[in-house]
Amino acid sequence: MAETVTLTIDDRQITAPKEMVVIEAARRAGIEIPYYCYHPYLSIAGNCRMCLVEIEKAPKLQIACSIEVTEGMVVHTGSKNVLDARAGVMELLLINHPLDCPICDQAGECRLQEYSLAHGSGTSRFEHEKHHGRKNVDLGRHIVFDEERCIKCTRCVRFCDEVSKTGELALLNRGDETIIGVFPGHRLDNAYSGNTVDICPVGALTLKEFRFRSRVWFLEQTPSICPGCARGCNVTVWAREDRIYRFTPRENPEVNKVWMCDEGRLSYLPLVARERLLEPLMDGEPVRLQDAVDRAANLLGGVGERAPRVGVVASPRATLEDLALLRRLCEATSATDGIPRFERGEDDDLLIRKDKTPNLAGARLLGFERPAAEVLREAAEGKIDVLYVMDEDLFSPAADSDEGDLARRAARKVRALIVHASFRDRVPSQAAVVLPAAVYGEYEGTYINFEGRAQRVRASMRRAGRSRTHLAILSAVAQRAGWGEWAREPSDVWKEAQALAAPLSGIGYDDVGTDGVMITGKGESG
Amino acid sequence: MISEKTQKKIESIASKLPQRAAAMLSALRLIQDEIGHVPPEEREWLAGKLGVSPAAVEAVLSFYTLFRREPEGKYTIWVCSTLPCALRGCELLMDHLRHALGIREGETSPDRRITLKRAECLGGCDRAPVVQVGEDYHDVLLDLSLGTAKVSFERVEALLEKLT
Amino acid sequence: MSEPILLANIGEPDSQTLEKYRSSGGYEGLRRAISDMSPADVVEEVKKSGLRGRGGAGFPTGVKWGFVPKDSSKPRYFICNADESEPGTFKDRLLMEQDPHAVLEGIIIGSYAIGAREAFLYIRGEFADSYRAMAAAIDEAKHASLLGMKILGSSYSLEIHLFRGAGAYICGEETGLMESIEGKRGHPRLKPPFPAAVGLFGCPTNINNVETVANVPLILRKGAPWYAEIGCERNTGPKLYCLSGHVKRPGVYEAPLGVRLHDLIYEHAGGMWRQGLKLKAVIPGGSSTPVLRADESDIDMDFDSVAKAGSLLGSAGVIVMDETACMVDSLLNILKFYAHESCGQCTPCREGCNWLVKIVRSIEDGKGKSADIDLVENVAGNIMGKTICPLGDAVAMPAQSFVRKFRHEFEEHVRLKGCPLKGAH
Repeated sequence: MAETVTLTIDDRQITAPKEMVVIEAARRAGIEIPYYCYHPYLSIAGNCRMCLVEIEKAPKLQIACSIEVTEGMVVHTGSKNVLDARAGVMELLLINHPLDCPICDQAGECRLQEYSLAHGSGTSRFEHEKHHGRKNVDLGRHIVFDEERCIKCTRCVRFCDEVSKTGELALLNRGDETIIGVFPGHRLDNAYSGNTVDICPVGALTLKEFRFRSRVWFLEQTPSICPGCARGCNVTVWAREDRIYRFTPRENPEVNKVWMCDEGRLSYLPLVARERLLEPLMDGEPVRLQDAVDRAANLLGGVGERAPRVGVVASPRATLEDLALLRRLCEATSATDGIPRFERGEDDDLLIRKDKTPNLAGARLLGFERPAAEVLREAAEGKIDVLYVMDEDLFSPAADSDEGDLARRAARKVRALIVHASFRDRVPSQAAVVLPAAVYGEYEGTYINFEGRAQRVRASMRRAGRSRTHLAILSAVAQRAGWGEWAREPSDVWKEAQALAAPLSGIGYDDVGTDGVMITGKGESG
Repeated sequence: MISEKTQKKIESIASKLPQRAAAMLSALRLIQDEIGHVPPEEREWLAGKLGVSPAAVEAVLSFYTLFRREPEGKYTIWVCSTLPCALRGCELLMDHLRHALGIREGETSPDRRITLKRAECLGGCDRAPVVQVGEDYHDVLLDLSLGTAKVSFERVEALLEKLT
Repeated sequence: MSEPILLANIGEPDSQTLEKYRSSGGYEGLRRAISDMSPADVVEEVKKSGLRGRGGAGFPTGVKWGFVPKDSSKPRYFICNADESEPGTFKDRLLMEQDPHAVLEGIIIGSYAIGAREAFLYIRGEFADSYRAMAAAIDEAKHASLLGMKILGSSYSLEIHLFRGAGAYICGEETGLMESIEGKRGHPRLKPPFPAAVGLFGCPTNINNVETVANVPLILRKGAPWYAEIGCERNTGPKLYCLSGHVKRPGVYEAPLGVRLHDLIYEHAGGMWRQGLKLKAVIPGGSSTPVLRADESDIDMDFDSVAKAGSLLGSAGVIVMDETACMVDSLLNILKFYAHESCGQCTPCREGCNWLVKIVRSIEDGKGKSADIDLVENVAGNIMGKTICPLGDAVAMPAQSFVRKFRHEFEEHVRLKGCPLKGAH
């Protein structure tokens, strides 16, 4: 336990850890001190001067973002001096700031707008020509910059220096001509550039993929997990009318702090761009769901003199709960199983993992360890009759491993191919049954990241067309195949997963919570 | 690209300092002394040399008034215009130079010989109004013999003539 | 006028050479410090002398040296701030050009006192002559074993790095200067931490002005009691005053701290440059210090007396203005300087300086309203004390003092829709 000190902020006694800055101590006590440049995960710049507070015995106002608490310190955040200083800073920030709020994409989440209301005077005494800067500067692959709106808080610069460590941005020129910029001919292109947009307190940096798509107040926010890689960055999913508009990182000090990579941030785009499979197919023709499920059950169930040899290919992109039911299917059919890898690039020092799936650790926990290639090879060699594939991307022509190739060969060879598919584009024509699966954003469940942290992924949309969650599909197949009534609610299936995976014992479905829970070790020791 | 000699000089400065980046200002000055300004290619080279990002070099280059990102005239005349010089008639001097050179502040003469710039206090207030050309300060460009501020055209002309 | 002490060598032929400097007792202070005294003794001696920093703030030098921790595992650095840039100030340039060894000896003694093995001399970029003189002095001193390894045969060694600025007033601010040495923009740092604890390259650092260090050899050579006799109470020692503007003989003049300002103007600098014209205003300590009207300007020029008169001794850059000077135009000039030199880092200074320029320019151009006069004071108040570094105060103090003390001239500009003194030169 860190040493603590006791101080007084606005007549309230507060205990805070030594070395904590006043702004954080106040925040913990529910006292908001306004700021622009301060950011808990970046170095202290102290340049916006919005957080000036009065500290007794100090000769002048002090910035709450940089002054550390001391024993007996007495702080006033609402005295006349403080309020006047804040109004003064607000007025100065606005003299060269354009009044283009109606067409500014930051509207709704602009600190300048918010604080103007709370701390500004409502009028400006500035009667001169404002500075003019370039608008719509194409700063990087994902980033657009509006010079006029920039308040030089340098959060973006510090991010590139301290977090992404790519150093593309700098303050250029000086005085009131100071501006954020890049080296001539260079661009703000790093794997994490989108974070600069999140931390920009005004509308100076905006994301190409989101700007002008929607006003933020129309969007519903759901706390969830990025499906883009094995890190499992905590995100907020912003959706409206069954469509995801953006991901933003959600704070989790243990996983991603407050950051996420650009690839993950934009990983929802294919969900919008690819053509969804909205109905079941049999031999390429649309059918009723019930018929498709019947056929799948028949193929798997071994109606006839001998049971088929079944091969199952799981998906590390499915939830832990999905995979628990798939494990049961394997048991019911005495199937041989495997799991594909979707790997690209290398792990980096910050967040990015080369494993581009969110739940490989969860799959392993449920025994899906064998490489999919082994199952596929057996299938291609005629040793498997029915191949059950949970993720049509296995057949992706883009897959650079030999799995894609093997999968296509296996598809041609087996007697029957059953596929859960969300999109039309990669479904092999040979599939006997294609079951339309819900996509990310339409289901709830658990991912376990590469460190062994179970995290909750949540639904923010209704399922499209006649698609069903993996859980629903699997339990329907089980029922038709006569394997019994399987649970289809994630919280119920969790219990089945616990029975299958010792490390989960003692952890309830709801224990996973918003911040996730580490599971590795717990089960082993217990 | 700058000469090997200058490259070596920069390396030698950087290697003697507690941090290599501390050679930044000296290196930019050396590059500028050789080329006349600091072109983008040299900026990137220097960034690599000192272990900083190119943007960090740009940040420094654009901060200090003595550094040039673009070519200028062979000589830059800096006319000090801060209060002590203003009180002693620097605007008259500036007017005269503009007229004599046929250019405005910040511009370079068509023959690329002279760039005219306004300086903030050069710390030569004892010689006000003072101008700096290259490394040297020049004073007494005003004729004070009559006790009034009056530009000594002859002295200005003599100075300009030296700048060939 | 008393016998010069700091400027004793200046004006003599070859004053910048080691030979000449030594012939009048140069480096005796260093010899005494290194052979007879511990670093702590030197700090004590300087404390006893009462020497206060000549860079502007007037902080006791010995006390400042005492702040540098003795037990740090990191190297300690000594910096001499020769980025003389405050308008109206040109004394350090004179010292460096003509008495570089005095500056150098002071740096070596100071470095010894705080236990620094490396010192940095940061010279304003425009001062080429100062740079050349200091570089030559360093060479000479090295050859004479006054600098480098085992100084004067002792176990003490010191390396000096010579730095040149590149055109930025703000690098005269101590932490801006450190950033500049580190190869960055001269952005002043937040304090705390203070340089004595976390300074150059993150190490304990002491920084002193050129004139301050040039006093140190005298103190060591002649003793603190001798030094403390010069000047007045709590304001000891000789001082260099820079006279500029509407005086007959602009220049650097030496006098003990506490000299009468009118003696400086009328005796040393020969009075008003144009006969028959009267004194209107004086800025006593460089353009950032509050202006004084003629009727309040006959004061003692020491740190405490000038403060009592409502201004600051600052860098002792005395800018003199006669009746022909327009106070609105003069303020505009000062404001333009600070707007140009604002580093742009923090909001009040970055945005406020140029706003002030715009308001005062409109008054000077005859487009001002009477509300604009109050606005100047008010905007200045929104800058004062609210910035990262003292540049905010440096722009606010002249703005407020010019308006308060010469309000009638501002009002006249508004009434007449223009400047009544335009073209009065």
